[in-house]
Amino acid sequence: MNLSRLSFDAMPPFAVPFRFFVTAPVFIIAVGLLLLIANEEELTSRWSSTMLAATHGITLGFMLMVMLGALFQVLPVAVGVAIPSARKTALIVHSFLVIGVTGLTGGLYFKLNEALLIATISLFISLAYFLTKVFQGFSGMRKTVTSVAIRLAIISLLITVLLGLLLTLSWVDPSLVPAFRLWTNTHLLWGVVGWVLLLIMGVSFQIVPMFYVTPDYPDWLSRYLPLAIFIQLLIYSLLQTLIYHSTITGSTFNFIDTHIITIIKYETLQNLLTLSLIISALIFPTYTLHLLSRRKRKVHDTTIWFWNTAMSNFIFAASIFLLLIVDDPLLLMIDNSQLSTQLEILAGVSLLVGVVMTLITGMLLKIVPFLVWLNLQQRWIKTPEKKMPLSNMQQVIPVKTTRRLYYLYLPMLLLLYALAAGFHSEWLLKITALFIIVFFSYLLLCLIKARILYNKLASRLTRHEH
Amino acid sequence: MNSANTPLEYLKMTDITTYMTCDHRDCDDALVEFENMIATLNWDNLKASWRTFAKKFEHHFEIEETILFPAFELATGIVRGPTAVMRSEHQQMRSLVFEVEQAIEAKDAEQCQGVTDTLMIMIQQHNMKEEQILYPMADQHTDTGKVMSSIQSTVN
Repeated sequence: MNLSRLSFDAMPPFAVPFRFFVTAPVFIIAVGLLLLIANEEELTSRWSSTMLAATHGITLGFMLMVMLGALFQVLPVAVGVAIPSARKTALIVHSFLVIGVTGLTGGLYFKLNEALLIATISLFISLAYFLTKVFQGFSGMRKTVTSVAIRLAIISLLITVLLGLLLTLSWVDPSLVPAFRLWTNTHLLWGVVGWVLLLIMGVSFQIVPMFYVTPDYPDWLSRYLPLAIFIQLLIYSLLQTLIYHSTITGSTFNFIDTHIITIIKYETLQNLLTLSLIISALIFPTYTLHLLSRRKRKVHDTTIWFWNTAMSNFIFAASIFLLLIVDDPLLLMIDNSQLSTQLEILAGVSLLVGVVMTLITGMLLKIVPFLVWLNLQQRWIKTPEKKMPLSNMQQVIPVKTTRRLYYLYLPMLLLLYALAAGFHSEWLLKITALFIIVFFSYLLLCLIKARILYNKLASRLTRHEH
Repeated sequence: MNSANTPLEYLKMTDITTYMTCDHRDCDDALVEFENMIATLNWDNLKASWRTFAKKFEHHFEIEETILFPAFELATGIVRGPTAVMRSEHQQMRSLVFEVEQAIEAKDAEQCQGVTDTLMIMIQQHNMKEEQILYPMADQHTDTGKVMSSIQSTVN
């Protein structure tokens, strides 16, 4: 019998995940400011400095930031992976991540190669340090509804980081790793599908039934869906290895030779695999919407609006990706590459903002009050003679505030969709930027208020033993 | 396949995990029923609905504290382990139950809603620990038949 599996005391101090949560909105506010001073031409290309800075600020500064903070909480409590000296580890991971994201977005925006180099190294240190610490405790992981998905998500993060490192090396000196940019899509796929989606799934398996009192996700879904997605990613990468190998060994003199035919064959297989990946991924939002609709509680909960919005956007984004893959030859035939680019941008915005950002924001609004309360409760166990200072966790972020936040969020999302759909105008861009700044400043304010409240209430539970 | 005709027969043939998990769902349903009713502001009905829930809830705690936990502690020799944590969480939930009662007395719907929400989430995370770890361990280490018949005697 292994009693150490019961890791009730393994919870990190509130400061550990909170450090990440409170930094995240700051990067989006910065992105909002960039958009405010940008002109609309810069939005027409994915590769303009403003767009590159914005996408990295959002994906790394906001999404990765919150996800790492959440893992510091989830790993020890939900799956029994203790992170050694959590406070110190969090400080190091967080500091290098902040330097990395600041350097990367700044470097991309102002086109400073030195900053990009320092940023890449910092990001690598942050993630490598985090992964090393996590893998130390990996053997202690216990089997729960989330453990399969979380384990695979972390392995995917490792693969994403390694591919990212090789991509950077190849960019610094192409002779080190020739033609490695062929791996860009594989890197993105591991990052978005492997790391982000599997982590979201893993966390959902635990918190959807817990927070919203729904039935549990069925076993086949929580165990085998993440595995199926992971295996498909592995096969995709194997095909990529074959393509890469054929490309770098291929003769450059024969225009039509066996290499090219082989490559086309592999690429067709990859397309089919992407198709099946999208279809398997679609099971998750569909089932989650189904679970949320079967919720017995009728009480208003704004965070469910965020969940429903995110899951519907998921289905929307996946449909566009399907369209892109299925219609690819068709789009080529009618030579409408502009439409194809437009759809790509739309799918990207829908996936990153509509799905991931919406879900993370909704989760923050639910998890932060829960953590404030949970940490107070854990302190209270140790000082039972005192009165529990918080019996209503809705006092941390009032329902009225979360509702107001959603009413700000929705138009912001729609405006972003309008921009992505090609309605480019100076004033539309400015209004969107303002919405982004206002929304995330408001969210930041709520988080800071939660922290102040926590400090105030926690001090009441401190034992004065002098 | 055996088929249970009465709840008591069902009780006899099942194990701790199945029965106690079922009882959790029962308590959840009673709490949800109360929660869904708060908006009506019908305080008499609310009081009655709350009493139904609180009675079920307290009965569940009593089964655990007087039958299940002692049996677990006796069988494993672990007194200051998971059962101690569960007992202290019971105390915390009891204090939340008391706060809801006060809110009902004060006819404060907002407070009622907020504390109920807190209690609901506390119950869910408490239940998860019991259902995923403690009950299966109890089934494994205690005399399940004996524990179940003791539980049965409290239902009679």
